[in-house]
Amino acid sequence: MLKYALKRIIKLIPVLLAITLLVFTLMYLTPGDPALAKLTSQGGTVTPELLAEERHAMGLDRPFFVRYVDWVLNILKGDLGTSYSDDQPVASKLMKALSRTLALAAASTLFSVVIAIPIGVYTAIRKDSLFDNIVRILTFTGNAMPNFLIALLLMFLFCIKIKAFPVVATTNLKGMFLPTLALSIPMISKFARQTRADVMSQLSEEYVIGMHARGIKERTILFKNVLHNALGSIITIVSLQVRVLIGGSVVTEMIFRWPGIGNMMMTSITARDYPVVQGAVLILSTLQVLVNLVTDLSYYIIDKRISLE
Amino acid sequence: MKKEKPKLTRSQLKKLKIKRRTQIWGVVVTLVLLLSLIAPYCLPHDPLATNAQAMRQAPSPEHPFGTDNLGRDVLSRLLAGARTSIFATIMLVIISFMIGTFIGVICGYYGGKLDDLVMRFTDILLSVPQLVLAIAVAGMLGGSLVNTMIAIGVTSWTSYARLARSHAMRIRQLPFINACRLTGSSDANIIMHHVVPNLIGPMLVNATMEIGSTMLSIAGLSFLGLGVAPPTPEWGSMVSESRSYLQLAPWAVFAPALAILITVMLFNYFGESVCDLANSKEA
Amino acid sequence: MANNMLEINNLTVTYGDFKIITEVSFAVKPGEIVCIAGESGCGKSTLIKAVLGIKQLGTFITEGSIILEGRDITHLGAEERRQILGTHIGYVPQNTRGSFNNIRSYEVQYQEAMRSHGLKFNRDEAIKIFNRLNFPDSDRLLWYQPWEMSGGMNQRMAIALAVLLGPKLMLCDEATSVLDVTSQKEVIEELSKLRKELGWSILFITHNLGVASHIADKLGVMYAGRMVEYGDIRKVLDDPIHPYTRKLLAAIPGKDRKLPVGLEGRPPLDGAEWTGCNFVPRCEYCTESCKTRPYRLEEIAEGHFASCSEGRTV
Repeated sequence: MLKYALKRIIKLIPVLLAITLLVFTLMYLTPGDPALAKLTSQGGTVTPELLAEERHAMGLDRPFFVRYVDWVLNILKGDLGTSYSDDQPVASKLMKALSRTLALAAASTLFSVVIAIPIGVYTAIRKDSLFDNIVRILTFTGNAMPNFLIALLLMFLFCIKIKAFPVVATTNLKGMFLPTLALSIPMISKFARQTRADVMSQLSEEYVIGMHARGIKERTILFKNVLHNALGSIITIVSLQVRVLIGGSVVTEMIFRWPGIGNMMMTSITARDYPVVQGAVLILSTLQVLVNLVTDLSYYIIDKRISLE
Repeated sequence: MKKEKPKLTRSQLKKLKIKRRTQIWGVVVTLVLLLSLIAPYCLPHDPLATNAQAMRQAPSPEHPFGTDNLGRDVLSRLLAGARTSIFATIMLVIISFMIGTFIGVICGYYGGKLDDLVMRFTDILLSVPQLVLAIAVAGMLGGSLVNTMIAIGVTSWTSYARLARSHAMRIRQLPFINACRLTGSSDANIIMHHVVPNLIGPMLVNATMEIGSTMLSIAGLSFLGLGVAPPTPEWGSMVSESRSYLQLAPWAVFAPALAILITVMLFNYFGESVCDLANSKEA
Repeated sequence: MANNMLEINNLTVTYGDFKIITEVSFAVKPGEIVCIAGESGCGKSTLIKAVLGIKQLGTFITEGSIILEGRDITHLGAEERRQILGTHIGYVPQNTRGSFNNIRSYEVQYQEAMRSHGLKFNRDEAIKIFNRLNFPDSDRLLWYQPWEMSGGMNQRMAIALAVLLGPKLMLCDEATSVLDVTSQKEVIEELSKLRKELGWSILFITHNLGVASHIADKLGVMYAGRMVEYGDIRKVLDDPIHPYTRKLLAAIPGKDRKLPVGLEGRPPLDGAEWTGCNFVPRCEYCTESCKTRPYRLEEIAEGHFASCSEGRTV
């Protein structure tokens, strides 16, 4: 296990490096002069001399590769640069926002899994029942809903019609409720459908008959064997959804004005505050890579055959 | 004499049912596409005309879906925006399908260093959250429909490329491909006449299933204000423009959002039945 | 009547819209090995499925009864059935990995099986059984998962678990058919040994008459859903009565390097529904009356039953 984990972690290094290169190139290719953007966002008149001075101070007059290496070395020191808009270090700004985004992401993933797996299992064993049909329609709709529609619907119902929540989310548990719910609905739909399909395909496996023939209790077959074997593909869909979730949280955070990293990224794009955008993309991508790592490791725990590949 | 109907087995009946269903959804989707093409020419009102006297009016016979914050007719904007929203989606699916399939086939057929390089590149693109990368790209390029499509296309071709590559690798190893090589067919000839025809079916099935999610991605970016520049009507940006007035004019927000939901559902139903059809033919 | 381990009376079984088995009757005495042979699709596997009676298998008994040790188990409720499966009826399926979850260790699966029947799992006891059956590497076997083992070994693990659960009747559905000759021999020998030591009765389904002749006491031959011949194995093999049995025996590959004769034509798919003899289309001895005469298993010689004795040269 440890060897397998180490091998996986070593494999991550080139991926992370490539991501930094990708993010850096993206920013490098962005039209517009960061020095100009910085000066404009700080207000005041911009003279050519001031601009040249600023460009030199920001190191923009150096070649691409030097700037890249310098940037990566700074990242390793935990320095993501300073924000153009308020001269604050980007790293500390983003970390605070990241914790809020993580809270939201973790809560909604957990909530979705807890709700969706029992639903998926139940609809698989009661295939074509009334409940199964209702769930099928609901999950199909949930799958096709744009993020913003769910968030706006929830806001309309709970904040405007019922007035149970304030329109601007507070950063406490109560404030988390609606954004979490908004992020959960598409995930519940995906997970429930996937669980149903996986459990159904597992139920038609021969070992299920073998176990029935040995008189093993239905509950044991279902929860210790069928669900165990289906878990691999359920984890796959969960980790794939994290990719979507990270994106979806941008929309949801914006609607509920949740001060997370997605919201910060959108504000910074509008303000052309590139270091913040750069840092946000980098952090979210790293997060994604880490989720992929955890997924790979959990496959190994479920099915030892993986290590042979 | 009455002709006796041939008795069908259960599996044949099921196949027939799947085929019928696919045909019905095919017709529905075609109708939606036609409607979105015709709609801009038969609008009840000018979708761009603002009217200070008719701001945020609730739905009425005159304005079935009400008016928005600038007094524009929501129904007219909805119909005018249909073409943009739907065709941007379909164009994006087609373009990334073509690029992805092309790259995937070349990689799968030739293998080697090029294949390694491209696959590592897709690995990296896949480990970046799609919408985040798209937001960054669109944010940099500035808001426009084409830029939105580029921003999503940057990552969306990879899934087609991976699928096409795995098919091409499988087909490359089939005995008849070797036979073609022995008779002196060129690689280009083999790819065009043997590899591509054998993988285009499953690739197209995959592409139809992607339409819905592509539409959601585009809508998401438009909603974030990275899509079509106002005042051009487009569903995602219509929601975005009206959401500050959610309390005063919910119709202006929910009409375009529901239009997206319904269209995505139609395409998903269609994609699913096409997939079922393909599976039932294989079985 | 209670001196029979298993009694199958006049059994008719359907699967979906199709009738698979018609009016099959026979009994398995304690300590006896009964083989049922026949071509694919003759209903021999369905017979075992009907005895197991698990609803997921989709078999449905429309007529007749199944008596296990004097108890009618034809239409047993799910929970009552669960309690006798494993502890009263053991099962070794055709697919060698079929009866275990491929990606969980034998230890937990043994545990689950024992606990489901209120039994205590004891690792040393299991290892003792492995040793008794001469399993290699017996100390570590429980740590393995089925995918790490050969097909034969998986089959033997299923048999070892049956020893722990202690059924008196074993159902083997083509249990050795996909194994190589060495594993096949090991499994057959194990079953024979356990029959002697534990007094197992075994209902053994196979298409391999060689295996049957080695292990069985009685042999039944099924054709298109019907039992066409049944009796002591020596009598059936040495003096086959039914035209089908004779053809089947002639089709066994010999040492003369000739291609076995084979059987012309195929069994009718709806053979179980016919009123007359369903072997008529492939039979060289059939007469007009065969097409209408109802099916009946008759005792031709002592302990030797057949549904037809046309064209028999004594």
